[in-house]
Amino acid sequence: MNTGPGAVVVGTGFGCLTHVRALRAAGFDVLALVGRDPEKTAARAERFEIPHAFTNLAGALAVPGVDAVSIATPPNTHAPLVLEAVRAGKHVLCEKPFARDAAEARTLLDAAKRAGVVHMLGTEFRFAPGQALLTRLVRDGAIGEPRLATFLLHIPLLAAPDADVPPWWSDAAQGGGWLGAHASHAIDQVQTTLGEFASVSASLPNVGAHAWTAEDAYLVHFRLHNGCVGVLESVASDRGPMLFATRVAGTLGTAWAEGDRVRLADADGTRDVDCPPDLAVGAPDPPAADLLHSAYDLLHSTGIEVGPYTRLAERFRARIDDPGVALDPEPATFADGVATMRVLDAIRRSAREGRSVDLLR
Amino acid sequence: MTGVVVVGTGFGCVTHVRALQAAGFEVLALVGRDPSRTAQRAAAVGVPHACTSLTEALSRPGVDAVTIATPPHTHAALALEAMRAGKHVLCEKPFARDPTEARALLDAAVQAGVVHLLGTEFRYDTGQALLARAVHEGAVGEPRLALFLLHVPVLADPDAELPDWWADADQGGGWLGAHGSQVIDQIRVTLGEFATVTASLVRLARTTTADDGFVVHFRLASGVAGVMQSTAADRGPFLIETRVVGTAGSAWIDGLGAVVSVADAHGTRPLPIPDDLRTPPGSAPPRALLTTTYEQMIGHGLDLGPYTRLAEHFRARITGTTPPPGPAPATFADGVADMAVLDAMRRSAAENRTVAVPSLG
Repeated sequence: MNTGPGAVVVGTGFGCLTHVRALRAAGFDVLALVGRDPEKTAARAERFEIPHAFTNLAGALAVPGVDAVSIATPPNTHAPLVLEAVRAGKHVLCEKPFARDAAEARTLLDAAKRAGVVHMLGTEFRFAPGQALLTRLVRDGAIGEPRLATFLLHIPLLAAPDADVPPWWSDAAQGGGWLGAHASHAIDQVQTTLGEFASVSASLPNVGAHAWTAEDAYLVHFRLHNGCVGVLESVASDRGPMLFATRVAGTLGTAWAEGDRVRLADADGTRDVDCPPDLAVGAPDPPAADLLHSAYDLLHSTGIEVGPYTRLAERFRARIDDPGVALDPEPATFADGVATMRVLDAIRRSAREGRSVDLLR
Repeated sequence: MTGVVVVGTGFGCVTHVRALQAAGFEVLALVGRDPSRTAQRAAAVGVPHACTSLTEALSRPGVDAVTIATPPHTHAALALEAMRAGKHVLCEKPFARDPTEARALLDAAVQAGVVHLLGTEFRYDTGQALLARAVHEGAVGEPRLALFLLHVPVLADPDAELPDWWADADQGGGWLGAHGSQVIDQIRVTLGEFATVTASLVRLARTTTADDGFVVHFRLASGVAGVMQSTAADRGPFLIETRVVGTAGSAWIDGLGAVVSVADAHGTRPLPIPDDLRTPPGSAPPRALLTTTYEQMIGHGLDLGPYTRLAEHFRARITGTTPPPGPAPATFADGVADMAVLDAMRRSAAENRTVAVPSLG
């Protein structure tokens, strides 16, 4: 019998594909699954051997032994779920994009603080070895002062005009679109690796000419308070060859990621940087193919996030056991969720108004 | 024979003289500041006369045209002197110190009734010309997003020798002017006129006032959004990406080569290279001409083929003969348009805000 903290997972998509597996690997006892559709939820709970299935969070919170709730639902539904969970005194792990806007994010942070619960954000890629190592390298001064950062990702995932995405995802008003889905990670990476945003200038095109109100691409020029500048740019509908670049050039050299491999070029030449044991994670663990339905589900088909998500879940558990425990890499909390939402808000405003938008410290 | 004077012993010798000769011009004189360097370099490329002033060179019999390859802040005086003497002028970019000066040069050229061209030879680079044609012909549908990235290490060594003017922002030096002005012209030719720019200048290796890198988020009048980003001082691997993503597909240049590919719903394929976009093969200049880091940077020989095609257009316009095949060359009117964009980028970087590019009627 599992003696770890009891958890409720809300969301039958990414919740089952990733949260359930990562929470279990970190020693949580997943007691209940919450979904909107009773049949799908019951079927998924059975498939993942979760004892209880509910169509509302209140029912799940009444199950004895529930200590924590993890939320993997569309972004515009996060707020009521988070508030309900923290008011019941439960620790909460919430997916990103965190909220509808920075103001809503702030109310969630305040509520979690008031309730005195552990609050974390689902930015698992802080624990991806490549990203974690690059962050450590740059912060340790390996490239001198960072000056120019480039984060590019072009994939063909949504290139078909009729690409199948969840209904909420195609709707900008429900927090859908590629910016929130993907840029939240990149923004968090910039903030942990390089520093706080000072201004952004952005475009949010719909490259694939989909009949969506949400964008399938984003393009952001940014300036940080420390003077570093760069680009966050991604297209989910590019039929051309995949393009990946995660690279930071500084006054002494350049560091970049090639998958989970990190390389450094400086006056002494070009070399691999060894991954220290504390940053290693488990191998990718793809979910069963029959669990993937939409084009959008294919984002999670490689299972690369399960290893990093397990690290995140372990930290969630460590903070539940000891709120003061020191952790490196530090997991993102709702405070980081607020910071990221402020940047997302500024990016959306910049794209809408066609001008750069400043962020105060 | 059409007689021509070349002003400038660096790029003037490395590229202008050789391209002009290949296009059937008779290069009568070379003008430089230092008498012995000018004489030595004139001899190295088979130019009969070396002069230390344009006035002296213009007094020679048989001079029909002048090409100018000097630092940008010296272009205006030289171009005006040549045009007042009724000579046709080919002038390097960056064209002038600012849009006002550029406009004065265009007005003077129109008034003098001479042929006026700008040294944007990469309009004739096979890859760039083919990409522009493919986009114009609808290969990607409606273009929505474009990337123009180039990271090279040529100036990564802080001790790399550069001409004094090049390291001085006030004299029109820096990487934005040197490389950015080419990209500006390429974007205008491929995708249309600029509407707004948000730019940052970067200094990676340099402690001088001039930049060695830039990041620009641009919006075009057509609605296309894009990034132009480059640094000459990145010690990491080359990062070279020229890609246009549209509603029907993507098109890109393979590195800096001549191969352009298109990916759309029918698959991915390289485009055939039409005969009219082929250029004569490039060749490295005589080694004796490449003494400094700067000369090595400009002496790769890749531009000789495109520059020869540009020189052929220059000659055809002077003699009133049928122009060679391929795109129209840039004139001083393009110089005015390119300078307006460059000036907006510099202002954007200085003032940390988005700047609208004035539309030139």
